Amino acid sequence: MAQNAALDTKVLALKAKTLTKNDYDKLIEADSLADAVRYLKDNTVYSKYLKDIDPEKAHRDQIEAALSKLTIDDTEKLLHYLKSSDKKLMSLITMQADIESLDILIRGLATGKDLKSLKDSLVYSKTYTKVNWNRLIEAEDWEQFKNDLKGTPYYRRLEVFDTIGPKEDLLQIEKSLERYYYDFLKKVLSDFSGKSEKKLVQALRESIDLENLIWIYRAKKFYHLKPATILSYSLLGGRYVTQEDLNRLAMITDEDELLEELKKFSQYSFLFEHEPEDRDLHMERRAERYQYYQFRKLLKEHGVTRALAYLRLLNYEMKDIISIIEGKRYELSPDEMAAYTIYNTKPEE
Amino acid sequence: MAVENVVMMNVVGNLTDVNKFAKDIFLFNDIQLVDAMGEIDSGRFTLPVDEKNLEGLLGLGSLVPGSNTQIQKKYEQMTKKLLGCYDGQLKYEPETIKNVDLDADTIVSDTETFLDKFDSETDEIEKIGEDLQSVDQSIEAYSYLKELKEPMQKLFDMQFFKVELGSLTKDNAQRLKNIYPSITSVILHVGDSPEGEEVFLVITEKDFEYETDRMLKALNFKLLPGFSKDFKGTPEQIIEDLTKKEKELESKKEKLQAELKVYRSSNEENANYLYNELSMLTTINIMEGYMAFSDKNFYFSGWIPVKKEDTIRTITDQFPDMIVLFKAATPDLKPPTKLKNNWLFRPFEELVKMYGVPNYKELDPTPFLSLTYMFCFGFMFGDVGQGLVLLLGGLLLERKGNQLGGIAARIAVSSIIFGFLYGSVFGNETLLHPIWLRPMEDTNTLLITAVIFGVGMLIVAYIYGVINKVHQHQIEQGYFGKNGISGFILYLTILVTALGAMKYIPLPGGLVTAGICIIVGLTLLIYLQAMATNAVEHKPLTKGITGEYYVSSFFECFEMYLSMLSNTLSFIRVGAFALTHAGMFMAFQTLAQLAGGGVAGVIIMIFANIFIIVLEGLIDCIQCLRLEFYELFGKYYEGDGRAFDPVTSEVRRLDAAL
Repeated sequence: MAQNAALDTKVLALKAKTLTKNDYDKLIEADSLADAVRYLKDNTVYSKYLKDIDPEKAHRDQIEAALSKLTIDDTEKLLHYLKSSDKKLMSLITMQADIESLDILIRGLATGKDLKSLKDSLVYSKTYTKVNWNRLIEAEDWEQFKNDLKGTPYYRRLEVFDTIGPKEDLLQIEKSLERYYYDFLKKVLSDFSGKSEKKLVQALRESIDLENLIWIYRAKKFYHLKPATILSYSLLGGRYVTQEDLNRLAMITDEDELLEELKKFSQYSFLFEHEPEDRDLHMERRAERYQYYQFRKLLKEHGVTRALAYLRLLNYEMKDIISIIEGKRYELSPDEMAAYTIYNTKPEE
Repeated sequence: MAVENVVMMNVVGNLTDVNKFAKDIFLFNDIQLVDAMGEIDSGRFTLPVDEKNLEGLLGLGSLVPGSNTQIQKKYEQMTKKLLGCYDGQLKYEPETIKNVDLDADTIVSDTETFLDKFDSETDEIEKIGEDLQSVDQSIEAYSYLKELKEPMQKLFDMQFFKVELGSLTKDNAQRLKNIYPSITSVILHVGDSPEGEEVFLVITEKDFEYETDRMLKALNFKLLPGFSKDFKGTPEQIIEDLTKKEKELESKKEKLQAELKVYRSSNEENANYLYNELSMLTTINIMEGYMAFSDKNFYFSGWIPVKKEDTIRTITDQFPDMIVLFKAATPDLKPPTKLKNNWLFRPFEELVKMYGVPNYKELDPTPFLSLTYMFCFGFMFGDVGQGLVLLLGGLLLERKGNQLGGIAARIAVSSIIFGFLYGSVFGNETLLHPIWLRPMEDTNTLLITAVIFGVGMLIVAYIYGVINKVHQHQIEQGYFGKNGISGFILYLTILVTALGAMKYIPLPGGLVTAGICIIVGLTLLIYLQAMATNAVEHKPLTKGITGEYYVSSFFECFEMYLSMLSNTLSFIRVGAFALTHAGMFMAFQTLAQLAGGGVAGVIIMIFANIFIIVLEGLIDCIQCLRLEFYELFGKYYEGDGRAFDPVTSEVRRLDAAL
């Protein structure tokens, strides 16, 4: 408990620096994209990360990379306070950063970009990354790229792909890395047998459920994938959705029947009970808002649960900032923008 | 005088002799390289015009600087490789090739021959290593199929089926099981790999090959590299054959390794030679960077100690056509300073260098510093036992080549001597009878003695200062300055007059008055020193003197009085630290008694001794250094010279920089 006390306080201290309702209002009211960036730069915890960015010329990828650095910094700070078994859970955050940066480079390689030009878009923990990024961005082709990853767990996920370029392979590669992340999550969760983190484990297992349901829905509707392929990329270790459920869902061919079956998962029916256009457009945001409230509650818990909840919420905050900035670009009204944010930014009546 | 005189040596030699000359100079070592090109450009490198020098003179018109970094890199690469062959175990002994004629081409080609043979053998061993690895992989692959009693050829020859062996992670194996119903291949779990993955044999009808491949790829199915159609027998036979092959390869590898070992050891002497020769070529290349070259000649410049002129002659006399000129050092050449002290003082040169090397015209302060440093330290830190500990430690360090060890050993001896004077052994004052006094019992004598010795040291410092300044023709500072003759006499007069006035020494009243008159006169002289200098140099009296001068000079005089007083009293610290030393022991002894003596008391006293040796030893060293650098050096020493830098250290530095 004494160890947790330090961690708990640290998390609260970090949380206090994140955006408030007032900040969100100001961002949404901002006259332009540049004004919104300027507001972030002058008034929020992100100023340190945005100092080299010119608000007038700010670019989405650039801002996203800058904002993500806060998550990495905070993760590194919190890792100091954790015992080694808990560190593993938190290392998911640094692994996620690794994978997202790898995705950026792989996409760059597939489209023939010079990887060195992508250097600023890469966000990773210098202390905990498993990848030698400086060497990796020197890679000139896929073979060399894979070779540079030897000795990291990512190599095994990429070595079976002989070439890169065709769109299909790219999706497979990205899904393959994502699946590795969730397999690792499943393993970490199964090692957490103690009661204290039970609620955290449940929330994270629900995140697996949500990923699976959205994947099956989309794979059927948009990619028209075969059951075997769908199941190859489905995730193990969910909370309410069993393997039998997944097997059954993957075999359904009729779209309406699938939707009816999906709605039967009462916890997650909120994803599917909307008109088709609304459903597709906001499905991911709805899943995230669902988890957002879960992690808000978990923030009141202690130890690693609170720490991880904070980092998840920070991730949602970053996504919201990006949504608002994108909203500014397309000149959406505050009401419209609220539909795209995870945090409830709806203006009060 | 402990500053060794140096002389500039200029050499013009035949181009063909350059390697041998450079090597001999390097081994001679006692020479500081000077950029010959710079010397020639500045007109200092001149040759008398006579027939003998004609060629050298002609060459002066079309010079190029030496050194070739390209070649040097090549040499260094070869040296590195050569070292690699012997795991860095070759010895650097330039003396061994003293009498060898260095021919760069032969050395390079000999080294290449050696390295080629070495490389070809290691390559072969590496190749066998790779073969071994692939054999091991195949053994692993077929060991999963041991239970299959049919020859593999039968499987591979199937017309409508394709056979594959590969592995999946546990999680993906789980997914594979989930999709079994929709798979159109035969999939057999045949075992687990050492990496913790599950191994599967997959037999697919060729019509469904595309589908199956996609599905397997989606699961990250990794083909086992050792599973190949080249092996046709039953898995058991294949493994048997491969094991036999593995043994053959291993014995071949061992044989080659043994051969390589023999080759290495039989060539070690030769390699050592080559290593030294290559290192010398690198050195020569660096030295050539300091030389200038014409079509036929090389030009070399360097500082050598005057005393070594004859030794150098014996080197240059080997080359019949060599022109060698020696040029005495003059201040405008800024000659380097080479310190030369006997074994007692030599380690203290380090302390002097910390402040600065004496310039060419200055007296070397090392002997005076050494004596006073030893005296002051012993005075403060007088203890027979602790001195012995310090002596042992110092000697050990000195043996390891650490100059500070030498200093420690010497001041330790002084500490032992004062230990006898104070009668102190490891802080114990009952074992020995003091020859002089016990610090705590006769405080006044101790402090006054310290100041008296301090005054003595200051007087010597004044003398040093006067000699240095007069020697450098600094009339104003030397004669009329506060640290010059006037300042010196003023200091002495104040001392004598003050002591006389206070009746410490018998002095007739008239002399006191005379002393006061002298003091006023000298103060006035120092106040107006610029005017006095002008008078001596027959210049207008007020030349270069502004209103500001009178004000600043007034404050300088004021400061001079202050510092005379503070410098003198500063030496009280020598006595005071002797008291601290004894006092600390008393504190620890009290602690030991409080602890009831016995084992605890002994432990406390051991700790006390360690504590005092380390902490107080360090503090006393620093206090002595302060007295030397501030109170004494401030009076007489500039230290703005540059140290003589022998060729070896210069080469080492440049070699490291490349």
